[in-house]
Amino acid sequence: MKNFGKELKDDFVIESGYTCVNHSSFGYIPKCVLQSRIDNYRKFLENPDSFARYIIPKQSPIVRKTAAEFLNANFNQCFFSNNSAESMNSIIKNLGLTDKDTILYLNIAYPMVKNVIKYMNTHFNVNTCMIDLKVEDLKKEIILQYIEENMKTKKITVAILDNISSFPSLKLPIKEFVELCKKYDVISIIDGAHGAGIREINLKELDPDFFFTNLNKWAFCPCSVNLLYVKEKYLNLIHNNTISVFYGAGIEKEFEYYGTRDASIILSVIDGINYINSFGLKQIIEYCENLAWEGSNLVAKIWQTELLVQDQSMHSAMVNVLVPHKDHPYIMDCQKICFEKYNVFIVLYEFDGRSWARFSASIYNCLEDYEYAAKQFLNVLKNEG
Amino acid sequence: MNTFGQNIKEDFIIENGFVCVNHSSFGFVPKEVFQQRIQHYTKFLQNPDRFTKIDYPKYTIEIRKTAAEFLNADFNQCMLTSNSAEAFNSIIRNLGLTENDTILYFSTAYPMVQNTIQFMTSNYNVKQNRIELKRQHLEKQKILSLFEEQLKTQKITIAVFDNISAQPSLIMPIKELISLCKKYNVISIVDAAHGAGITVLDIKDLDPDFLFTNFNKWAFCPSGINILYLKEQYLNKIHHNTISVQYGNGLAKECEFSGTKDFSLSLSLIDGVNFIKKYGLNQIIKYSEDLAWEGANLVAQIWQTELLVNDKSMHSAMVNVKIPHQDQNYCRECQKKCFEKYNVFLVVFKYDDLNWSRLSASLYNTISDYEYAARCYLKVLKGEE
Repeated sequence: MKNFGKELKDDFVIESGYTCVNHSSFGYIPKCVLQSRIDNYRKFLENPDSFARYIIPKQSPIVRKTAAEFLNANFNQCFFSNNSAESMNSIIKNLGLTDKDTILYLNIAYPMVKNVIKYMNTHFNVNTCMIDLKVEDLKKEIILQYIEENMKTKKITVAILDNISSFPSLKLPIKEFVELCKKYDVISIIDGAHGAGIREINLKELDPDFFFTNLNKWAFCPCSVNLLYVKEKYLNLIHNNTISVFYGAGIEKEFEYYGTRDASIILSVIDGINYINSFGLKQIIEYCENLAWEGSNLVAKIWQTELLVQDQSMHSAMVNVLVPHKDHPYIMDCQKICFEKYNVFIVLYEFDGRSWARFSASIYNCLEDYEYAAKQFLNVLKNEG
Repeated sequence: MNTFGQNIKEDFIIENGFVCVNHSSFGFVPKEVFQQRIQHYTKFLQNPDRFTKIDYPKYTIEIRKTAAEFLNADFNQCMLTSNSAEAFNSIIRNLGLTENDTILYFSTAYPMVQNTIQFMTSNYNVKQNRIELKRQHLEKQKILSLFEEQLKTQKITIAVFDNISAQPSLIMPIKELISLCKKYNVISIVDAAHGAGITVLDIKDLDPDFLFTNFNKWAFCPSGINILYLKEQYLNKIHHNTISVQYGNGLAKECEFSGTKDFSLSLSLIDGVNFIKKYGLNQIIKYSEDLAWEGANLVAQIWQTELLVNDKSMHSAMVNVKIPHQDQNYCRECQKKCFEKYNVFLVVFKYDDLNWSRLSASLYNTISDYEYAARCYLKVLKGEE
C-alpha cells in the first residue's frame, strides 16, 4: 500500500500536470472507484428496468447501512439525495415554518443555505436572525456565546450551523451547538456538507435533529452524493423537495426514486468508504489536517501575510490565508490567469473586508503543491506572471 | 451506418441476451453516446474546478442552443433540468397558486404530476379538476370536447396534459388543447416527458406556456437530461424547485447550478441529438411507430385479446394491449417471473378495470422481439413456464 503524498497521486483521477490545492469543492476520486463506477453505470444503462425496479430497491438499503454505520447512525434515518441543496430544501420547506418562526444562522453559512432562508422569509414571512461574525469573533467560545445569547433573548425555532464552514473554513463546535439547541428547545440542523471522511462523525452521540453531508467532497465518492440524516420524530414530516411518484409512500421511497436519474451512483458510496477504511479514517484526517496547516503556513510565509485564525484546532483540512492585495476584482482576475497559465486553481473569497485564499489538503497532496501555488499566484498578483 | 432492426442492436448498450420491448421508460443509449459520456465524465472528474467554472458555462449555452434548435424554440426560453419531476415542480410551485385557482388535468396524467397537484391542494388549498378518461373517451374529439366543457363551465387557471401519455400510452391532441387554453385564457403546461425524439415537437408553432421533455426516453441520451421550455413572460417568475447558490440570478443560472451534481451529464444531449440527425428524426419515428403497431398487434393476436385503441393515428411508438388475465397482482407477479426466467420486461398496468401491457419500439427492435415477449409472458400467465 502506498504512502500518502505524491506517490498516491497516480492512483487518483486527476488531470495530468494539474496541481490540486482545492480537493474540497467537489472532491477527487481514486481510479479504482471510477472503474467501479463506470461498471455500475454501464450495468444500469444496459438494463435500466432491472436496475431501477429490482436492483436498487435491494441495494439501496445496503448502501444506506454502510453509510449509516460510517456515521454511527440508524440506517432507517439515513437517505441519499444528490447534494446538500436538495437535503436542505427538503428539511426547511417541510417544517411548516410560518411568520411565528425564526431561523438562526451565521453570516458564514454557505450561500445555498442563506438563499433557502431568504426564500422562506420572502415566501412564508419566516423571521430570520443572522449572527454577524467578524475576524475577531472566530473563536469557539465567542461563536457559542453569540448563539446562546440569541437563543436566550429571542424565540428561535430552528438553528443551522456548519460542521466545517466553507468561506472562511473553520471547524465549528457542533457538539456544544446541539446541546444549546436542546437546552433552548430549538431544532438543530447541521450542514455537514464538509463532513464524512474529514471529521469523525458520531450521529448517535451528536444527536442533532437534522444532519446532511456530501460523500463526494471527502469520502472519495464521485460528484455528487449527499446523505441526509433525520431524527426519528421527523420521519413522517419530511418530504423530498421534489414531489414525484412516491410522494406520500414514506420518506424512504421518496428518496429512493424521485424522478428519472442515474440510479447507479449511490453504489459508489460503498467504494468510497471502503477506500477510506483501507487507510483508516483517523490516519487520513491526521495527514490532511497537518498538511493543510503546514501548507497554509508556508503560503502565508511566501506571501508575507497571515492565517485568518491562528488556532490549528479550529481547522479541518482547509485553512484560510490572507491574500497580499486589497482589490478583490483584481484578485479574481489573477485567479483566472493563474489557473490558465500555471495550472493551479486557488479558492478566493471575501470576508470581513479582506480577500482570503482557502487551501485544502487530501492524501495525494504534498507540501510542494502549496509552495507552487503560493509562488505562482504571487507572480500573477505582482504582474510578473 | 447500420440499418434499423437487428443490425443496429449491436450499436446499443443493451444487456446481452435481454429482449427489450420497453425502450420508453428509461431509454437505451447508443455505444457512441456512452463512450462520449465517459469521456465527458472523466474530463469533469479530472478537474472539476476547470470543468465547472470555465468549460461548463460555455457548454450549457451550446447544449441549450442544440435543444432549442431541435425543438424549434428560443434558446433563452429553454432550461436544463434533470427530469420531468424537477421541471414540473419548478413550474407549479412558483406560479403563486392559491385557493382561488384550479388545476385541470386528465385521469391519465402521470403519477408524479398527479402527486404534485395533490401536494398543491393539501398545502395551498389549490383546487383541482380531474377529467376522467375511460376507454370510451379515448378518441381525439371526445378528449377535446371533455376538455372544452371544463374550460367553458369552470374557472380554470391551469391545464396540464401529456404530449404522449404513459399509462395508457396515447398521443394527445396538444395543438388543439393549447388552442383551447388560449381561447379560455388558461395557462397550458405540456408534459412531454415522452416527446423529444419520438414526436416532431415544434414549440414555436405549438406555443404553449410551458413544456418539458426528457431527452433520455427517446433522444438517445442517458438518464437525467430534461429540457424545460417556458414563455418569456414567466422567466422572472419561475424558480428552480431546489433553492441553491444561484437563487435570484435568473432561471437559466438557477437550473445550471441547482446544487453540486455531475455537470458533464447534460453534454450528452448534444451527442443524442447528433445520433438522431445521423438517421433522421422522421425516419426514426416512422420505423418505431410502425413497428410498435405491428408488434402490439402481433401480441394481441398471440394473447387472443385486443388493443386498447384501434386507431393507429393515436399512437406513438408505444401501444397498449389487453392482458388475458383479470388479477392485477397476478399479472405483476408474472411480470417479475417473466423477467427473471425469460429476460424480457413487459410494462404492466391497470386501466379502466382491465390489465394492459404497453409495448414500445425503438430502432434496434424487430418483430421477433414482440413475438418472444408475447409467448413468454403467456407461458408464465398460464403457469406453463
